[in-house]
Amino acid sequence: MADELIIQTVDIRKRYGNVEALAGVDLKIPRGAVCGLLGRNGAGKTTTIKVLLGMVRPTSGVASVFGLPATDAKASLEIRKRAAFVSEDKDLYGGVTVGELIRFTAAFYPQWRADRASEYLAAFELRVGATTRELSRGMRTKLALLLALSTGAELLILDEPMSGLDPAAIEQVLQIIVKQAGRDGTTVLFSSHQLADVEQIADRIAIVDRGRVVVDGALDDLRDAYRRVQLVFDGAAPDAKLQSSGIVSLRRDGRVLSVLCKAGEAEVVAEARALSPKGVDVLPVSLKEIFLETVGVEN
Amino acid sequence: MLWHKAWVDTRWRFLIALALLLVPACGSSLSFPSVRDFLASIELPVVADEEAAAAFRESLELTRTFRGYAWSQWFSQSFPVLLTLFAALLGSGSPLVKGGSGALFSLALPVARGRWIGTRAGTALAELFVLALAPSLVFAALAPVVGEQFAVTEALAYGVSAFAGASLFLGLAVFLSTLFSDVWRPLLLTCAGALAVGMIVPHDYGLFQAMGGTSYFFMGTLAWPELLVGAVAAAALAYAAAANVARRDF
Repeated sequence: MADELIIQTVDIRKRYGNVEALAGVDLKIPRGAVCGLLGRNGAGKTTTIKVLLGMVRPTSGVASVFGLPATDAKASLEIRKRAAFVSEDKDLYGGVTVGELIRFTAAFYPQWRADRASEYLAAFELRVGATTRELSRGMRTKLALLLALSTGAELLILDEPMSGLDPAAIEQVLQIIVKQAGRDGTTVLFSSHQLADVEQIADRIAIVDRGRVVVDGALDDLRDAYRRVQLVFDGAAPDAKLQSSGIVSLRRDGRVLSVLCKAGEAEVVAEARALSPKGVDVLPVSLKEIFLETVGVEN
Repeated sequence: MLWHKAWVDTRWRFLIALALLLVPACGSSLSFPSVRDFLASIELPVVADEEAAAAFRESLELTRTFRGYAWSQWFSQSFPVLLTLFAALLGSGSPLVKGGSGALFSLALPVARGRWIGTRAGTALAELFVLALAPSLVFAALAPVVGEQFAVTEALAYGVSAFAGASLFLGLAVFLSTLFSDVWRPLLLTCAGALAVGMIVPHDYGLFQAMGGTSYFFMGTLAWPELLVGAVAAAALAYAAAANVARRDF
């Protein structure tokens, strides 16, 4: 049961005219995971999420949620009964009160948790009589989260849930997501640009770049797998081409040659020693470094 | 809940349209005695054109009775035009407009896309039905106030005729709303479509004649073929709207 996949996509592709938004997304998220979906703007995070929720039809590939095909209209209804979503722009109906919107949403979910709605109303300090137009972006985000968290869903899909929130509110939301996942075993897939937030609560990471998942796995495994081998030379670092397997990137900066490798750092160290460096250090790597290196951004 | 949302989304348009139809309907009914007396007091002008003179005499003749007055001044003239305009207004604006207010929130709910469109179209259709019947029944209700009689069945016949015809334009607006992401383009294009139907189809035939209840006034029968075509086309357009939304990406 622990290894049951809640989300599985195989080679999902989506084209909009000449633009390839998804170029073969392969994603596996087991039940109970809190998975952070990372990627630059336009990498394909939101499109992937929309495919899972039946909002976008992929050009090809297979996407399943709860073992149901996300591209089938009837199955998608069943998926959406069991999954809750908060969109990136937190667009809610205008001109209705918080209380009306809660009652409206509750009507679609037989497993609606009124106790949770009351709990989050108090926690987020939302007034039931306030209209959605009166709410700030941050408060609208909180209302959208309240609605999603109260559905009793087995799967929460949150697209940039922390956008528009101040640091205190971000911390509050992060704690609530962790609490929800912990007490109900809810699976959470959330996209974010805030690597620190992802690192704080996620136990799995998927990095999307140019429409592909380039890194996917448990955060601890990734931290264990990636290492930075730093070589310091007396003079300028040599223009060496290391051949060891597992080298993700190699960078020279003055006297320092820095090698990011995925597994097999011993092989890299052995090869690097042949260059006669003054010192060799093997350092742990942060999620930010993994992200920046895999999406090809110079740190 | 979907019906409630559709009602909340359209209620102001509906209530304003209802007021804009009821006020002139009441005014026309209550002003009948003064109009009749005024027309009886004027002398027929001498017109060289015999055809125009005949038309004028016929118009005067119609206004001598409450039935003729109601039909010639309201049911065959401003009523079909106003109802067409309000049908376009009620049908414009989809609940699943891309980038619109709450579209992604709606799509994430466990509700089929076709049900969203169907509920919205159904609500607008029900509102259109009320807009068609309420002012028609005003004539039946207010006729005794001015010492006249106007059969409820006749009021219903005019109301149903106008409703069946206007439902075509409602269907067109619903369909166009699934193609455009704003309210104004579906509204304007539907009005342009109505104008085209009014101009292209010969004056003595067609949808607007049927909506005005001409055949009922003169012969006591509804223009079934035209009204049926209007209703079937409306249903086809609503179906096309649902099919279009079902295949779209958001």
